[in-house]
Amino acid sequence: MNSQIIGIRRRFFITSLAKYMLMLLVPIISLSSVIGWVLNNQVPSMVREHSESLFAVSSLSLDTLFKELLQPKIFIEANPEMHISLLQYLEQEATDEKTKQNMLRLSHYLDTTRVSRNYIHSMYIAKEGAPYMLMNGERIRFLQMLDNSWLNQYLTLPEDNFYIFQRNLRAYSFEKEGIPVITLIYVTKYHELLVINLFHSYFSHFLQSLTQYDNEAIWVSDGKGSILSENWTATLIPEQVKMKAFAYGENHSDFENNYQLTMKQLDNGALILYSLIPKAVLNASSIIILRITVISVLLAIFVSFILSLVFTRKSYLQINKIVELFEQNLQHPISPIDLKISDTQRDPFYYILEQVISLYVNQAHLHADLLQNSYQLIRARLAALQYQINPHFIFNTLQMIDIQISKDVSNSKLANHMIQEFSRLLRYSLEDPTTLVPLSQEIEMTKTFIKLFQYRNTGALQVFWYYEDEAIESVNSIRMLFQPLIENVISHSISKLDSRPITVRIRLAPRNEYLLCSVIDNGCGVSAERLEQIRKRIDESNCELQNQIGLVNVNTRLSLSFSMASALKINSKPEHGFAIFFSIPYAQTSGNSVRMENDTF
Amino acid sequence: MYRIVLLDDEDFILDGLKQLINWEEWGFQIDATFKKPRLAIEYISQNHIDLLISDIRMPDLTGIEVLHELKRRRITDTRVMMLSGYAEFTYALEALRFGVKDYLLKPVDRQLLLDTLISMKEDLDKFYNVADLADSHPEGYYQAIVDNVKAYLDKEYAQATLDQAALLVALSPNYVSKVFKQVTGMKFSEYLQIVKMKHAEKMLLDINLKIYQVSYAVGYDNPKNFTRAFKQFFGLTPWEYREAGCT
Repeated sequence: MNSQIIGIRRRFFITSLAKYMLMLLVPIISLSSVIGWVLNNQVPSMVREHSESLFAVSSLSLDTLFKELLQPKIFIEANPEMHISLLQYLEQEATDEKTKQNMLRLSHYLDTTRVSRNYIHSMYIAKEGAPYMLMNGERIRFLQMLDNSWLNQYLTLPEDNFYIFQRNLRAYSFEKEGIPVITLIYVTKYHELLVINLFHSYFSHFLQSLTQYDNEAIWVSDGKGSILSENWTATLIPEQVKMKAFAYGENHSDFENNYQLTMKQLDNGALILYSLIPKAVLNASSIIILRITVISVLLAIFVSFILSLVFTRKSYLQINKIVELFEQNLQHPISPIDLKISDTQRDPFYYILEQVISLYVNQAHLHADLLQNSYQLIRARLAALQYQINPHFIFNTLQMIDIQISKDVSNSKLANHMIQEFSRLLRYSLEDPTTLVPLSQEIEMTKTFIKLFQYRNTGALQVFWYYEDEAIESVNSIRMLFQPLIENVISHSISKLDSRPITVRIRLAPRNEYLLCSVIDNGCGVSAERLEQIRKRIDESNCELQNQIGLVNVNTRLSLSFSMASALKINSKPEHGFAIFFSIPYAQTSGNSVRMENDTF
Repeated sequence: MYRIVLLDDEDFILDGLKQLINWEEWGFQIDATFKKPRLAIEYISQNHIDLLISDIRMPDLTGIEVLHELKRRRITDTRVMMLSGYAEFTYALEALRFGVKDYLLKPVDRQLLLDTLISMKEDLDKFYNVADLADSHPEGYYQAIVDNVKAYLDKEYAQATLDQAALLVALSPNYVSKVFKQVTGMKFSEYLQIVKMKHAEKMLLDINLKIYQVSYAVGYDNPKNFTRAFKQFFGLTPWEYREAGCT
């Protein structure tokens, strides 16, 4: 294998690998980059809008909650008679019937409102300077009121008509800490103070329930930036951040990049709802998608590499095989029968390739055959030139011998007859070997041969023929078909100086489209090894061994003339002679055109 | 006597042909022999020759060319017999085209030559209106021929052929066959068959002999043919006959 071929193979491997990789990677990479771009640019703004709209909905529910808390104030202010009654009720101890009735209605209303809204801890109605106040609809003396921290805080605050702050409510003297509440104070038309205490914990929960994302911090501050309530996450956020958020709301200054801040003013700016979401959380899903994409791209690259490797290897092996075939064929022409590259019936490309190669190999093979044939032809011609003495010379010589014998010998009739017979046989054997003769003629000539043999070996050989004349009528045979077979018997048996006569039985029997022929003798035969040797030589058309040249010759001519793979079947046993079998097709089925010749010439 | 010219490039063969048969006995005489085709043609042009026996392959002119020349010179009353050492189809075809009726192969078979000569003489006799000389033979002549043939058949029945019998009496097979039929009233082959069957019949009674041995002994190398002939002759197969004979 030279280096050029190896170079071709390596280049083929690399280019086909690259091709496969390219084919698989281009769609994967383009798809994944589109996904990445969308995730990076489109998704965050979408997420932002989404979260903002969600927050708007959440804040609406908080807004509603505060609107509802306004109802008692509206209830009082919308009913002037009730309002006057209330004032009297807070100012004076004695009350008339009408006031009593109104207060009964009011306290009933307040109780209903408080009980039906479980986030309300308690409701007070008080008036500056008035001796009484209403606590959850029950009139008590202002000074009896244990919970007065709201008043202290209220007094520290600048004047307004709405207050909101966080404090601890101590309802009972035994309570040390009190309950954290958010206190709302509404100032009515006549300067009563409507105090509503809300459970701080409820608020925290409420805010928590508004969260849309993990780690979302939600808190509510009043219009001045002090924090009223916050969810659990918000407690972890440092004060400065919250201050910064408040400032951001005021002047839209920059805020930290890692967070998304959303805020909503409620109640005309009295309350501000903040939502702070780490961008990491917001973009978590897109980050996951991005990760999956990256992983699948890597996976696809890996798989495509493996696939490319597999396919390239397959093609590479095919190419390898093909190249080898060509190489081999250049060195030693191979038979087209060997040409089976692989099981590629499913692959049209390789099918075509295989056909092309088999055509090439066949052609190369034919070429080699042609060369061999022409060489053999030349050899045969040379041999013919060497061996074939001019037949005219032979027959002229025979003529002279015939004449000379007639001159010299007184009773030359038998000798003349023998010369005649011999000439006939010789002439018959010298005729064009490619033409067939009627089997009857071949039999007649064989009998002539036997007769000639019997002249010199009286009683040594008997040949019996078994056939029906009709059976051989339409059969054409090659010339000198039986003669070499009988010669074989003679060479194996009669030369052994065995006194017993050799009997040869020749049977010709029709079977289907063939005439089955058997030539069986009772001579010496050969051993099994020798028989195997003879068979091998016949199979190989090997004429080296002089003894068997006749058998090989008959076998070759039979198989050539009648297109049979192997013509002679030979059996032999020591002391049992030979049994040779073959068959001749009837003339209709013979592939060769038969030129019938007139024996007169 | 009809006049013959022999043409062959070899003296030895010319001599041999002269001595091959007794030409006069069959009504022919050798007028001249030539080694050179041109001389032969000249001779034939100047003399009335009935038959030219010519070799086909000669160094100077081929037999075919001689034919051609004779035809060119409009010599039509000379018949031609070609001699060839080796059958070659092209020569044979060409010879046929020139009207050559007879084509003999070397070494020349006396029997065939005689046959050809006899039929040629009959032809010539008819052409020249000559009476058949054979009829003038005395009665004893034919009987002698037949006796000779019969003696041969009784002895050599196994291998006997008409050719051999004719050879024995130095006559052509056709002639022998004709005479045999005239004298005995049966064909040569029929008589031979009878002789063979008689012998076979005798041998069959010897139970030591196998049927095929018997058939071989009477000249049948195909025992089937023997069986058929035997059955035709006796109405029984050899086995049936043997069984009948033994009991």
